[in-house]
Amino acid sequence: MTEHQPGTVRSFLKHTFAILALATSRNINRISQRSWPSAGMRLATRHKDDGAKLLATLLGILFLGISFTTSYQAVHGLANHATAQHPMSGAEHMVVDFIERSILKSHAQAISQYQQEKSTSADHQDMPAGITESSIRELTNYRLNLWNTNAETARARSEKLVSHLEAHGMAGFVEKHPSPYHQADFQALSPGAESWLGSAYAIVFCCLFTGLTLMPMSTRSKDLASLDSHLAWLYCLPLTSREILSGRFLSMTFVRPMSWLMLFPVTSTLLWAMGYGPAGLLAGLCATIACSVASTGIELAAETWLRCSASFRMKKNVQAAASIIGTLSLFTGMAACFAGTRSTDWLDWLVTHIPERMTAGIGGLIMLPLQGNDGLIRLGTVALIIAATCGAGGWLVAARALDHGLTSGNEREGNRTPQAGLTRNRSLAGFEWLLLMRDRNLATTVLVMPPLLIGFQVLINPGMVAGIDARNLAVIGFGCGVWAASMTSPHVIASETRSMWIVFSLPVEIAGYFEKRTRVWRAAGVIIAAAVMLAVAVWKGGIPTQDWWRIPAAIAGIWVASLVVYSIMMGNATLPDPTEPEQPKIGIMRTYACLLFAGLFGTLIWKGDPWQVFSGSVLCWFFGFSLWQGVVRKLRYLLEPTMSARPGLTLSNALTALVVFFFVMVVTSGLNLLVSYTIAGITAAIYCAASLSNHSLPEIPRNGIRLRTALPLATVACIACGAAWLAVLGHVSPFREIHQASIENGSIIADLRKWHLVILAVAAAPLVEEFLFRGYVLRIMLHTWPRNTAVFASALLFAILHPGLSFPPVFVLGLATAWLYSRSQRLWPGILLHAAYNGAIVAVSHT
Amino acid sequence: MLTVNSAGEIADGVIHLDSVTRLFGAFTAVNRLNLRVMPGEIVGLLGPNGAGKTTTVKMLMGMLRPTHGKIRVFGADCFADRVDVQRRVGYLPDDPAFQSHLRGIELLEFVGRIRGISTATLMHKIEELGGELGLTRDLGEYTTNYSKGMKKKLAFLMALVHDPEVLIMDEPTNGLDPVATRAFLEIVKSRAAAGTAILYSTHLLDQAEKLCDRCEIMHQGRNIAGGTVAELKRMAANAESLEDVFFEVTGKSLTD
Repeated sequence: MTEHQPGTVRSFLKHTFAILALATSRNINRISQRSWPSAGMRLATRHKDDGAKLLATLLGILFLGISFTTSYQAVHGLANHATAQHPMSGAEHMVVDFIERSILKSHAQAISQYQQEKSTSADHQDMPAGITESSIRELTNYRLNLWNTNAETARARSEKLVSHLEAHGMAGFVEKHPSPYHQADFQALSPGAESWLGSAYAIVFCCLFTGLTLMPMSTRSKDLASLDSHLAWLYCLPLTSREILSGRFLSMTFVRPMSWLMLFPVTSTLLWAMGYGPAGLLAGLCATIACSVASTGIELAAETWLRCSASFRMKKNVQAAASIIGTLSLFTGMAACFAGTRSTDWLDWLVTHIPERMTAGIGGLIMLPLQGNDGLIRLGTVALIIAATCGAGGWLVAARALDHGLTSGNEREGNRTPQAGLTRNRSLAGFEWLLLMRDRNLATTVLVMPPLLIGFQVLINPGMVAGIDARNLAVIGFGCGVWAASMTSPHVIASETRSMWIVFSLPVEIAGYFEKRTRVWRAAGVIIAAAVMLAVAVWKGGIPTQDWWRIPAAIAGIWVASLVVYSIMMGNATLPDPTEPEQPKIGIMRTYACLLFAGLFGTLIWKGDPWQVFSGSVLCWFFGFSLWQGVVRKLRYLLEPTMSARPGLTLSNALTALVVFFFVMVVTSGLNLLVSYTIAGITAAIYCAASLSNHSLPEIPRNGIRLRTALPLATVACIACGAAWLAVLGHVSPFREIHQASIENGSIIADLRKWHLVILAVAAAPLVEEFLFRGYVLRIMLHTWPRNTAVFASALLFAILHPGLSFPPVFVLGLATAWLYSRSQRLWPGILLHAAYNGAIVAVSHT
Repeated sequence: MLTVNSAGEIADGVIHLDSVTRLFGAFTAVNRLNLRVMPGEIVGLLGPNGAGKTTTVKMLMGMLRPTHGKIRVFGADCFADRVDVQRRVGYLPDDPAFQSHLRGIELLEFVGRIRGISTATLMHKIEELGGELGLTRDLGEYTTNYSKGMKKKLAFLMALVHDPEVLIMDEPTNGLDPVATRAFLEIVKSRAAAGTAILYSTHLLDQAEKLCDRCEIMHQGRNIAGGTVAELKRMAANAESLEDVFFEVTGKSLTD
């Protein structure tokens, strides 16, 4: 079927919005929990945070609105505008759809069988070709008319079938394989037809509901392993434990935005679409209350009972399980929503194979009675009974747990584990692994979830993997790797700031220590990515050869992107506030920034040509390193609340100077190139001079070099290199065509006859670029890295900011001038060399 | 590193604070503090709350940087050469916290690994010290389940596994039971006898009187009195115990 297309842009956007909405709703959920007992206190003390929270809430409402709209559309797609467009009911229409799909499926099977036979038997020409198109049409018409389709629809459908057959060149297979049209096939399906739509709704809703109930339980912010500080605080007030529980119960049901922002719109939309009309709003209200009471019961039991009586490991395992089940059911629900009118074999399978009331679970059970004619009455009974059972059950379990006092389970006596001896020589990576394995929840999130989600996508959207090529493979691997990276850094920061003193009392460099750890994580990300890519490639029958370079690019991309992600995440590192009972967290905005960055980088790997991917990765690395420098400085002063290092010039200043230069170039791009270049150069020079006068960089000792010999030698080498490259561009195969194409598109080399460009090349460019790249960027780099690394890095940056086609000679030029500067601490040799090189290129292009 | 004068004596202390000042904004936490601790010496840092004791200890650990003045351990700057200093120093914080999902034994293993101690030596140390402090039974437990005293014992163990030449402690016996307190005092004494320089801050004046070779009384960031217990008693009129001296000295300067 044509609907089997792999993820289109629209469905991708839908998924993204839905995921963002979920992330934000979790945040809202967290805020609402905080707000009940101590909202006033917090507002009074933490205005700063609340602004951000308000923003997050507003964003959340926006995203929820979008997700609500899309799910409404999905519901409509599911119902297929049944009453408006067709004389059938929605349910009947869905059944016809389903049957059509199964017909096509049997067709496809028959066709492949037929083709096999055709290819193996030599006498395929002798096959009887008696069946005509019209006979197929008749047959199909007959079948479809069984379902009271109107004539127009039936005709359209049968034409679709015929064209499908023709596309496979199989006009004559029906005679040989008439079996797909047995009437018994249709009749076997008919008993379930009436409840199909209702079951589909119920499954979708149940999945989303289960996911949203379980996901918050598994988030890191809810560390079930330790005692709930809010509960401990409430316990100190003159309140009985029953009163406390009741208060918490109320705060988790009626004062929680999640119920009103998500459950209510979704349930009322579903009910409206199912035929209740405006009465659906009232029914939705009942369903919302019932659902939130049910989910609160589950949550309260987990929050209180699990905290108080389960062992440390058990809690972590429960969290891990909740996270897996929650994520998977969320994805199922969303996929079912978005599947809409597309092929949903798996949804059909679920609906037909699993007894409806079993699949529906709590949410579904609440929704299912609504299908009947006496729906409201049944809602009033069944839903409330279930909700009351869950709610009261959770409440009772929690109350019973509190009867034992406010302890966490393993604080109770006699629960001590026997002493464990020293195991073996553990490396730092070994300790990292130990931490990961102990935190079962994090381990599942990092290691299990990405392959699981991809596998799941493959299962529910088979069309997606039909077109696995190198770029898809690369992006899948990249996603898994960066996921691991961005999940582990919050772990490092959030769970360990309190124990940071240990590292400070040990003979290790703080930044180096964290860098080592991040290296372990990055390596883990790369390994996960490689494993996933290998698995997919093996499964799809081999590593694709076309565009193969994207795969190593993705691996390198994980290394680069995780540096940026770590820096963004760890830039948040602060000492825990002793008055703050919860552990410090990574701000949601930082998470979004990381998501955005990873998304952009992934797009680069997916879409870019080799040069774009290379230069983009290098630039991102420089960006990441400059961010990391800031993190290193911050980590060094992490325990130093009032003082930070005097900010010297760092790589970020160097990058800023370049951004200033290019920004002015873009702004003045309407002017003559020479004028615009000069203005940009002067602006950037002013920035450089100002920052150099604010923070003096100590002079690097000169390393004796005889300019009289070195300068001519370097000049000759650079010009020779440029000439050689021009020869390559003129004669060697892949480059010659690219070069020709770029000249036709108006390359600057073709315009070098114009006088102002000659001035630009020989005078302005050497002056500006030498000052910018050698006098500023390289100077800063020389204070950051050893000399040779700095020379190499500055030349690399210099070369990738030039047109890609001139990379090799410009890189050599950058190396030569950087080497001259780093040895002599003088700019003029570089300017001379640069001018001579550019002049030579101009001269060559004039001939 | 260590300056030795012509008589062969160590002129500077192992711990050497030279007119150290630390500001938090406009607030002066430590004000021109001078302090020496010689090898084998136990020095108590006394003073009321907010006198600047913890700030001093944190500066010694390179966690804070002095606003003015020099602070050195074995001649190395505590902030700039933090790593060198940390090789020879053991530190026991006032309120130690640990990664909650590690066991005590694993934390010790981690510290031992970073400090480059062999497994056999580490095991020997843990058995010896853990036995004395009564922590061996609990080392297999997750630190999240530790009581305050157990955390303190674990941190003390972590500070001692590498036989530090300098021991810096903040309220070390705070939260320890009597048995562990006695064990702790024995360990400290034996370490001092072996030549370790020990500096610790405390509020327990009785204990300080019994244990310390010298006491420094801090008030409002300054060391207003210092010397052996006998010397201190001579400073205040009619002083029978260190407590009397403490009240005399700090009370007098309060009225100033």
